[in-house]
Amino acid sequence: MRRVKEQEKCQNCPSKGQGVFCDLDNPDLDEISQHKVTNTYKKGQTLFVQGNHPFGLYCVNSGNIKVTKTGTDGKESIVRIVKGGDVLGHRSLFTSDYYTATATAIEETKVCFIDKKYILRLMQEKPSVSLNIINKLSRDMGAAENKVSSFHQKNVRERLAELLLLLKESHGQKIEGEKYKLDIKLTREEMATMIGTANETLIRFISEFKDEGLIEQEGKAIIICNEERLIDWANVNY
Amino acid sequence: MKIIKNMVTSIEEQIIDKLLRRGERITYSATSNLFYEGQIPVVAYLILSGNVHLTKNKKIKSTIGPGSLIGVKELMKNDAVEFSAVIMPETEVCFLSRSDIFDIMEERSDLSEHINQLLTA
Repeated sequence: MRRVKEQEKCQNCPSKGQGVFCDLDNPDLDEISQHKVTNTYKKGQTLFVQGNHPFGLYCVNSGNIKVTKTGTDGKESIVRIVKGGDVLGHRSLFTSDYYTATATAIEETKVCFIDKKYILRLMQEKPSVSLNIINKLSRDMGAAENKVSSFHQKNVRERLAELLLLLKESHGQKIEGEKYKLDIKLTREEMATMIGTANETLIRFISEFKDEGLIEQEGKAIIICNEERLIDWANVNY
Repeated sequence: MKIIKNMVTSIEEQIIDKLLRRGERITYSATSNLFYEGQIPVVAYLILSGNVHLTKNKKIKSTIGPGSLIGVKELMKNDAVEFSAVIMPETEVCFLSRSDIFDIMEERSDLSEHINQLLTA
């Protein structure tokens, strides 16, 4: 039997309760812990690259990963941010397609990997795992549909407000009163690619949001100060 | 270097043929990191053609070619590798997952014996 560190067992995962395996009993989780490979990726290290062959499923233990697509012009755009409890590579489990995006750690990130053969066998034996993966796929599809409609129907100001609200939902930490600090390290350039605009335009709108008291900045971190007005600006029904 | 010798195993042609029947063959079109130093490889790689650089602190320490098997021991024993592996464009590899290796070991064939020898070496 291979050596598995106590802190790397699924039962001790900091994202326990949010992953696709969390409905399994302890003996099943022990078996997964024995089979999986746990690695820590430093900032900038890639888990997989667009065009590469998929080997299996990545389950994020802690940290944040950006999923990017590179266009024919070499420009990189962030399609989503993956955090603790999320999975990566689940779409490739059901297709023979190569990865259509690149996954890169944006801070020190701990990730567990389970090979394709094992996960497919597990899905056949444990319906809860299949259902949780279907749930993830459905949510991904919903998010992708929202993103497409945002790009078609909204202006940059609305898209930035919407991005800040989404980041508040996924990475917001309540600090005082109604203020939420976004606990994610994204450069302005990365944020600009997420809403499909130029860096300069994003910076201009961030200044406008600050002047209007919607957000504050603490170093590079953004603090959401007025969520209600941000919802108005985003033109969404929350 | 001894550490590189431990990490890379030269495989006889007869064994390569048998491994090829178990794993999947892929060709990398661009330079890519197979794994980083300090990590456990997610699969093992058998190089069929082309080259893989083994690097430490971004410096190339060795280049390995066809017939080399890397990462089996580390993958099966949960050990971290001491080098990063960077695959060069147009390099063809056959990859073996933990499930593939377990399947081979359960067969009790000469191939499983070979894998057992690798793990105990």
